[in-house]
Amino acid sequence: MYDFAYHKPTSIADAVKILAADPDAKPVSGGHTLLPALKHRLNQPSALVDLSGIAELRGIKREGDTIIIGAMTRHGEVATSDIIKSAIPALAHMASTIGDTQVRNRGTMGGSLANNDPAADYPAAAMALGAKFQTDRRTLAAEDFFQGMFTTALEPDELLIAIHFPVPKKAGYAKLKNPASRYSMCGVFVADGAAGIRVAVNGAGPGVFRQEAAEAALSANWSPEAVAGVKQDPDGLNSDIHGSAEYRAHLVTVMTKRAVLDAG
Amino acid sequence: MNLSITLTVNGRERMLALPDPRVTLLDLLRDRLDLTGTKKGCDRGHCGACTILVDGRRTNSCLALAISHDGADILTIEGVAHGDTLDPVQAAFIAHDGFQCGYCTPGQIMSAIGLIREGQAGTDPERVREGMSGNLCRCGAYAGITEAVLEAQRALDAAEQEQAA
Amino acid sequence: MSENTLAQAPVHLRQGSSIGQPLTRRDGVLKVTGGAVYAADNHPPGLLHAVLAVSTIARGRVAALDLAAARAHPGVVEVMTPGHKPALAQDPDEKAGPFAFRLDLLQDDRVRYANQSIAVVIAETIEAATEGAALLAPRYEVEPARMDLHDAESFFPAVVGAGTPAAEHHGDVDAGMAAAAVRVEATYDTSAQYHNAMEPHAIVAVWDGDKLRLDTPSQGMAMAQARIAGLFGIPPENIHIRSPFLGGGFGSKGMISGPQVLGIMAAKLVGRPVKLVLRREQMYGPVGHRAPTRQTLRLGADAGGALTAIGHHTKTASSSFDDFFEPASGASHSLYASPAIATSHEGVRLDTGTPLFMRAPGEATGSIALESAIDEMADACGMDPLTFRLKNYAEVEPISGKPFSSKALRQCYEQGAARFGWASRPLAPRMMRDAAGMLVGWGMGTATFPALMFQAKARATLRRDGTGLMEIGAHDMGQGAWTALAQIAADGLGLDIDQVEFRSGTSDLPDGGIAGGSAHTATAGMAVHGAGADVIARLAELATGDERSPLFGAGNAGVVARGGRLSRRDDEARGESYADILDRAGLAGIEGSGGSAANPVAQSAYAMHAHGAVFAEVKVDPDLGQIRVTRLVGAFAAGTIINPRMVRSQYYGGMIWGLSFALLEKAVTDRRSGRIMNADLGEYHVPVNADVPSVEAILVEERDAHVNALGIKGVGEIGITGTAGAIANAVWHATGRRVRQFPITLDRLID
Repeated sequence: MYDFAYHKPTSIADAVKILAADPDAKPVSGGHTLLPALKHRLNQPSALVDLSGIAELRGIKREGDTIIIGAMTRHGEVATSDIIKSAIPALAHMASTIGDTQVRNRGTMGGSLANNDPAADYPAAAMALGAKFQTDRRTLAAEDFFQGMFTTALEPDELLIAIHFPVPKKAGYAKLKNPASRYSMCGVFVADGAAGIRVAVNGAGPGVFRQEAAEAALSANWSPEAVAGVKQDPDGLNSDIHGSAEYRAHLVTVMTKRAVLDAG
Repeated sequence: MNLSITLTVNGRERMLALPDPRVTLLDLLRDRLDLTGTKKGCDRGHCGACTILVDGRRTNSCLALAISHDGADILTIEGVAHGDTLDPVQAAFIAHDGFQCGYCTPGQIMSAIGLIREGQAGTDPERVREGMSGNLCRCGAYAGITEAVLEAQRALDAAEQEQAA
Repeated sequence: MSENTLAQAPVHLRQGSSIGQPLTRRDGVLKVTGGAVYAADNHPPGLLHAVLAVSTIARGRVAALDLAAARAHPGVVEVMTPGHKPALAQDPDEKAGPFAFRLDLLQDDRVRYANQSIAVVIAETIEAATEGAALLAPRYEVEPARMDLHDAESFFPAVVGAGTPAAEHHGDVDAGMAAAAVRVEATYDTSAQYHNAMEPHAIVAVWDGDKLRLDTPSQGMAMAQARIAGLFGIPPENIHIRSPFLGGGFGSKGMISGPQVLGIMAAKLVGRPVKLVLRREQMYGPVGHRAPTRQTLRLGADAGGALTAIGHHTKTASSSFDDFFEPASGASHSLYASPAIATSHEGVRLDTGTPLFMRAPGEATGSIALESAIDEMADACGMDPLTFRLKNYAEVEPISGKPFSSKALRQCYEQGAARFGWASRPLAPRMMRDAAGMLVGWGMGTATFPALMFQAKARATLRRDGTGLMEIGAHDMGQGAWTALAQIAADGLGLDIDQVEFRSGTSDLPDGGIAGGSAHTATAGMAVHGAGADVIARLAELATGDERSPLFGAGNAGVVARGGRLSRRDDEARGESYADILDRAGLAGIEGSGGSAANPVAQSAYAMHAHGAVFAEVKVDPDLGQIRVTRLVGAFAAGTIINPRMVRSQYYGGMIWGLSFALLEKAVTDRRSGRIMNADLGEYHVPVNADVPSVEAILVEERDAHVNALGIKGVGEIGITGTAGAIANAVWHATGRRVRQFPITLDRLID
């Protein structure tokens, strides 16, 4: 690990101030992505800005037809939240499949979304549900927030505050986990909600993407059978030691079917 | 930069001056507090050997910066037994041979205690297996581990009922 | 009494009360409270931390290291490099013996494999040493790495494994194949695997003049002492190794490894105690692995399903600079009767670390190929796989024609099959589905592992207070030596186990031999047993020669030892306690010693193996190819069982390794750089709890009068064999697809 300075602000304003003053400073939430990266020296922040002391970044609430989840809310809290379980059970289910309990006790929704790992779970839910990303200075739509592998629209000194999920009519999630890390080899989140019928895929490509053929099929006929014939083009999908692009393309169809089943 | 923190470790409050912000809870426990029961297996959050309870929740201490945990309440394997009396989870691990080499065992036991406290153990072995899957055991003592967790849960349930009665 | 007289042990062979008892682990409380001290838990005063810098290339030279940057980092004390290190008394590349594997001890700037040590940074804290090592920022002269088993020049090694001949045969395999009515010829690939004990290799080294104290995990302390003594030019007895607990070994801690020696060198360089612990990714290179293989099986059978030929050829890899060849073809020597058997090995050299013994070396790798091929042959003959195996049951060891010292494999088949419910298995594949639509398959495999014996010594003392002491430098890496050997000690001393102090795990005790080859309980156990017999004989001599004793005149053979008393065999009411005998003799205690070794006469007369049968159920998701092992039942016969609780755990562990072999483990190498791409526990898959739903082990009764006086065979490795093949065969039975590349991955089961 390179050496770094350490800050633990207690307000969003202070955190943003520190980040603005030092372009090489990096916010840290659960640390389950950043700490290994630091240990591998893949990252050299001048300072870590620890967000765990900022109370206003945590919590889950419902406002009308929207669920608002603070960026520092941990996966374990999302998985077990009664509010989320009743409003968007597929999202709670998704959270319960992230990593293992130790990971879920530390990792946060904001940390995961801001990192935008292609194999992370949440981006598919955010994309399919049409979530809005509230930062310290603006609100972004999911389509604008995600910008490809490990990249988002966030400025270096911009802090993700909360994620607003419109409550859908129905939603479902299915994924195939990497057997060791439990990362998504391919996961599909389907939703029928405010943004229309959406199908978003994680794990298979370099970033979350919408499967438009499946969306069209489901719009015509919401059923597992309707998407059984959807063929994902393997071109551009991830290919690694755990599965080829062709295998992942196959998984997109299977997981879409299963996500629809999960949504009911 | 203030690098001193206060931790409650196994019920005892400790004021600690950190030499470096890079020190993890794991290295702090092992190298500076001489609490070497917590083990380093991978130092990357993959194996679970370093599992401790932080404010009651299971945590990979290798991925937790000590500096970030000012004020935290920490329970390690050394703080689990009640004097000379083993915790029911510890006793069940022995009775069911839930370990062989013993290196992952502190992490397994802390994870089992966390699982039970989370109310996630129950009586379903499948749930226990899933709930204990953040802790690798290369010797392959999983059958004994699962039985041990189930039995500890039963013992605790029985004790609770007795108390209620 | 000589040290090697187990067969003649005079007084107390069958009065055992501890042997056979399912005691819980005697080290259990230490292990569940965090009190068990592993090597890296030691912090002697003045300790410095050493961290390795390792190569990121597989072949070439280190052209430059930024020593100034590392030295300038706060807390860094020293940087050890090829140009700045303590002198060694022996070239680490010298082959002093077959088990003296060549080590990388900074002898020059060559890089022979990825993750090879190229420098050691020593600092006041682990953080500073880690950072210092990173600051070295090596530059290399890179040479192309040779990483492909199938794209390297091959040759025929003379010996494989621990020194067994690379090629053996009996009968004429070509003639057997020509005469066969049914033939199976198939090629199976297995992957490179890494031991990945939970405890990374670690050492805490403290020099005091030319004396050396080491806290380091070892499966063979005496061998480590000898190796270190040679390297540093000091007498072996100057080296005191403490290894009370190993956090797993599986073969990788059998021989002292290069990084461990570098820790000793670092301590010498700085003149202070040094701790060196490998990082997980650094374990993928210098501490051994199981090499990849390509195995070609040729089986012939007559119209009735009797084998006419077994040909088993293995191509495997060693490193560019040393020899260890995975002896996979040996699995075909002993399992199935055939008038013709030929086994052979072929080697290539790759730019990897030297492969090494890894749990069931040879047997695990060879068994998955052989058991798959046998399954294919059964199918080709239209026979049930169990019926086929029984048809070809070996009544004598096929390769040698020797009788077995004991073999309860038939009972293993029977009991395992009954427990599993094998009889209702449909013959054809892809016939079973569960309620959720999963394809269900049942497969089986035969397990085997040789019953080996090495050499060991032990010392026994009976004290005036009537208690006993047994001392042996044995090794507990999880198999349960602390408990099982104490049980043997208690019976050997004729005492209740609570009356016996059992000392073990340090090198200043009598040499307990090596914990390997599944032979430690037999080897160390027989030494303990012999020491007990010896001290009891001495005590009996004292009593029977003393006219004041009720035992006077009984003679050694006329005396039994039980419950802390010696009694007359013909009248057990007549006797006296150990304490009384010693008290009257005015002795504080009496000491005896014992030793063990394989009996060459029995070895040349008999083939000695443990056996077993494993039955597996898998469920395969037809859409995903995802495989779940839902049931494993193993039935094993391994002679006398010292502690059934711990033996069962050993079988479980082995079976889970078999599951891992069949479905999970594979080190993936980047062909260009020679680096392992998944050198961590996030990407190198080992089973988690959720992967192991239901596992059962049946302990089949077996008595063996020849392996050793107690009839002990080994149990630590046999569980892998049979299991891996059983799972592969179950996958075929579920899906109708025969996958011959291991591990079986999801995409191979999808169109």
